[in-house]
Amino acid sequence: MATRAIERSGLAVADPAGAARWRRRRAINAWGWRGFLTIVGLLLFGPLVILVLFSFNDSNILAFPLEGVTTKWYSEALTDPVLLKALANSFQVAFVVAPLCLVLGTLAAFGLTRFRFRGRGVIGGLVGAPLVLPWLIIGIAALMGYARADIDLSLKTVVMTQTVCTFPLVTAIVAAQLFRFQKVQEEAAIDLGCSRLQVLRHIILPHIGPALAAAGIFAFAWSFNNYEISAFVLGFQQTFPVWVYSSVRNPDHTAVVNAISALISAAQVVLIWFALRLMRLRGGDKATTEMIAGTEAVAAAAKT
Amino acid sequence: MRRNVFLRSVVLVATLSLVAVACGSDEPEPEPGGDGGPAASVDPASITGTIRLYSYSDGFDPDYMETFFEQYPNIELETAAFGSNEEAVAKIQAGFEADVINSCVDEATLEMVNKGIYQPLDVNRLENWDAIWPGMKQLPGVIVDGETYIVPVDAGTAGIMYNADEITAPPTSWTDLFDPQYAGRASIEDLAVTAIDIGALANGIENPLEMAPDQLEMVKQYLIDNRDQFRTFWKGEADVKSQFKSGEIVIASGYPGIAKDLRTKDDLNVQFAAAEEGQMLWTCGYGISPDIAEENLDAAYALLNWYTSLPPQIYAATNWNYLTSNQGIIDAVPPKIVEEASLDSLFTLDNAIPASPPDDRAAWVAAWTEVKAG
Repeated sequence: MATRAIERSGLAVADPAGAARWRRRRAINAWGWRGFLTIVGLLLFGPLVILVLFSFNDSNILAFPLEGVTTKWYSEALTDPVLLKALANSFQVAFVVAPLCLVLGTLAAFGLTRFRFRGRGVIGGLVGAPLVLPWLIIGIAALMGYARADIDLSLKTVVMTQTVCTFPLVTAIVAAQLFRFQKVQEEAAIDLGCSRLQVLRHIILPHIGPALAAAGIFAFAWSFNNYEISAFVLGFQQTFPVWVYSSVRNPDHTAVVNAISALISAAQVVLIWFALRLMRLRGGDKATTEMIAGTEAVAAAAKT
Repeated sequence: MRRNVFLRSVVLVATLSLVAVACGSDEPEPEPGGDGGPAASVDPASITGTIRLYSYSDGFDPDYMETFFEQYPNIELETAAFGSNEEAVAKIQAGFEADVINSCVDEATLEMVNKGIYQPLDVNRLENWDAIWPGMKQLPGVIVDGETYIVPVDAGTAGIMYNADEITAPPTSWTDLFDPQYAGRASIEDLAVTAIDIGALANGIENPLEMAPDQLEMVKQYLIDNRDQFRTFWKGEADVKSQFKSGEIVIASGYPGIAKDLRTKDDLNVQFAAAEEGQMLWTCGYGISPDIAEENLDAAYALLNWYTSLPPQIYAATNWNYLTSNQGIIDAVPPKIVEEASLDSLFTLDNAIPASPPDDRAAWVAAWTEVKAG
């Protein structure tokens, strides 16, 4: 392959020394990339591998050598009523927050990308603000707001605050997709007799579908994993991240935290794998690429 | 135009749904209260109420609380955990409400009293008050201006943990942590007050809590100069246990319970020794918020009385190696537990230094931050 590339470029004939340099540079680049990807992979997945490893260790101390293999931490995790209640609360919150964010975020994306109105920039800035404000500050501010308004803290206050902070993520993903959408398709459909709802169903939704799926998954994950906001606006209940944080002080819980975290991580990997597979089935590799492009838009939005 | 109306309608519906979700409440209504009489004079089963307990998570551990629910079947407990007293203060000041609040004198009890987070307690309603170790009642924040604000429940002393397989001569002084032969194999707890206390005691300052600014500067420089002595500054029990087990460290500041756990659960010969210069004493307890509903006051006193009664104190001494506040603990547990949890050390707390925040705590925290930064 490399030889063919060199031949096509004419380097091999015109300058054999240059061709050798080109090959050497190409080999260095290839090894450089492999090394870089290996380091990134280790940083991303190394801690996860260690977590899984120690979740089977027959000791609650995180140190080598391993004491033996056991599944007792999984049994303890799955029979701990406090932990199970915290998990149930987290699922309950995330299953409400994600759909709410999809609706609100999509509407905001449409409003900001389709309409020109006075104050559009300000509203866009307000929508994007939760993406750049520290969640700890938002949590404290929300707690103060609820206290002044005499609203009891509960899972509902968690849902409301998380929704406010998460729907801009959906807006960023969907808006990025809408920017790429050629409005002429919509106009052509209307010219051909489609109603607004038919345009929405047959033209717009298929186009933004991958972005919606990605946004839904991310909104769910953001909500499920959120600690900073939940810690402040939660009443006398616990969500999973809050339970983990409060359990850290008790070293007897370390191994149980490893076990349940390994299960949660595995579930999230399966969820993302399933979403990617769904994207491929429905839209091919292009849809998958667009979904990833959506995530890039989030990163770009977060930076701005 | 029609498109705008459609979209605005959808936005309106979604917004109203969100507001509806936010405005409701799934918190149960407080149950009718108790009879208003002193908790000591009534049948425990007749005391009713709902208590919102805000505490470290071990304060409502299900096994620990088992006897509470047996004794007070009609008190409902709602619980929330914090990770530190600083977090608790921040959250309460932002508007979080609780009825019974846990705090530790080495963290923020006095600060919480000064900020009005506790109400004065009626000592006549504290059934076990007379049985509390007198030394614990003198700790900062427990009694302020003649008023009692928290009832001490558990405590511990900080000393030196060491791997007896590696260190045959037991350490006797805080200076042993700085012995060059343990360079790179020692650790101290990452708590500003404790770490600066240790540095001060190792430098012969007898009363660290009253250090002058130049002494603090000297201690800071001493710790910076000895920064490489320490493999790490440990943050939690899991940290320091892992470091002992992996052999990274052989000596560290710490607590008897951690050393015992390492001996009994992990088969490591880690022992605990008190330092001759003084041992830092931490104590945690519970107090009542001034915002508590009147009908729940009996239940709150019942909870405080239960915390200082022997069943939970035996549990804490046996399972967590805590020093507990009720003097009756000495006769209530086998001699083995007395020895393992160093319960009898409460008779001789002459050289104990209350690990309470100094007046210039901010300067101490800043100094410790500089030490950590190297």
